[in-house]
Amino acid sequence: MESLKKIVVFVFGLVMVLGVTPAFADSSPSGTNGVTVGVSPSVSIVVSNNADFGSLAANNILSDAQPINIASTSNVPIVVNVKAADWTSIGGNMPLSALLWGTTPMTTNNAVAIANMTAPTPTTTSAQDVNLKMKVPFGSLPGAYNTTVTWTASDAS
Amino acid sequence: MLSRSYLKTAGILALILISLTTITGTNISDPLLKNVIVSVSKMSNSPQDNVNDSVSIVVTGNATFGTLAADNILSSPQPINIKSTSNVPVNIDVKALNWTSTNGNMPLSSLKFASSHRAMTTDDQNAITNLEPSSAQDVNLYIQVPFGSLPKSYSTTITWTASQVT
Repeated sequence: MESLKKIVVFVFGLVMVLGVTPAFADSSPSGTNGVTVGVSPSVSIVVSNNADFGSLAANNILSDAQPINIASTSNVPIVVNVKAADWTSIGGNMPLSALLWGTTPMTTNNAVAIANMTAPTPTTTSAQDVNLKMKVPFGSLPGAYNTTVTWTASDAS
Repeated sequence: MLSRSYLKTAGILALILISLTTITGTNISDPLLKNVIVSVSKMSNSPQDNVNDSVSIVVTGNATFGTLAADNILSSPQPINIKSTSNVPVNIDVKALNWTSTNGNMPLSSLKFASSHRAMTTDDQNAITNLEPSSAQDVNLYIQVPFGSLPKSYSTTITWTASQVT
């Protein structure tokens, strides 16, 4: 019995000397980690195209439409407003109202152009054309007229 | 005078020392000692044979990106440290579960990894090649929230899996 104990002790000692102790540590060929992210509400649009009507007669006739594409890059429904600066021209007298979006005369104050534009999804787009037109009133002086139209989106949700 | 048991102990010690270099044991007559030598010789003839290949890693770090805009712009990197506790070179694959969110619509591909900004999938993709034993490497995670991703909280679990380089 005494010899058996010694043998057991020496065998364990030998195992330790040889460095072949069983691994009791927790080890695994795989590991995990967590990922969290919050996405904030965002309101943004992309406006494409410039409207160039060429030369028109002062005949009070509605021109062909020039489509302006408004694409939402928001993640909430939006309202899109439109306004324009007064014409830039040299000695011109054509009123800003000669410019129309749809059938509504443009003003320097915001007006709702798109009431409820849905948000796109990561796999679909959401865009809409708004037509600009000109109706040059009688008596408008010949000249070049330029303006800038501003489209502004806001959260409709 | 030394007792017989002391002599036996000394003998065993001597034999063990011998066994650590070259083991023969052929001259041992004591049956008990012979048994000991037999078990020693199995381990010391070719010690490497008794250390199995082990493949294991330790993953450190969680990626918290805070709140991001759905602007399709790549976020700052969040490093995840992968340490090999293997005794052989390993390759590391990575995959993730689909986002957990309440009615969210952001695709898992918005989660990117490595300098090439590869899109994460639910299937394993190689993230690290030939990671040496006891070495560690960071793998950066990024988020690129696509336009139209609904404003929600999104979470997922990434799994890194090591396999022995063949």
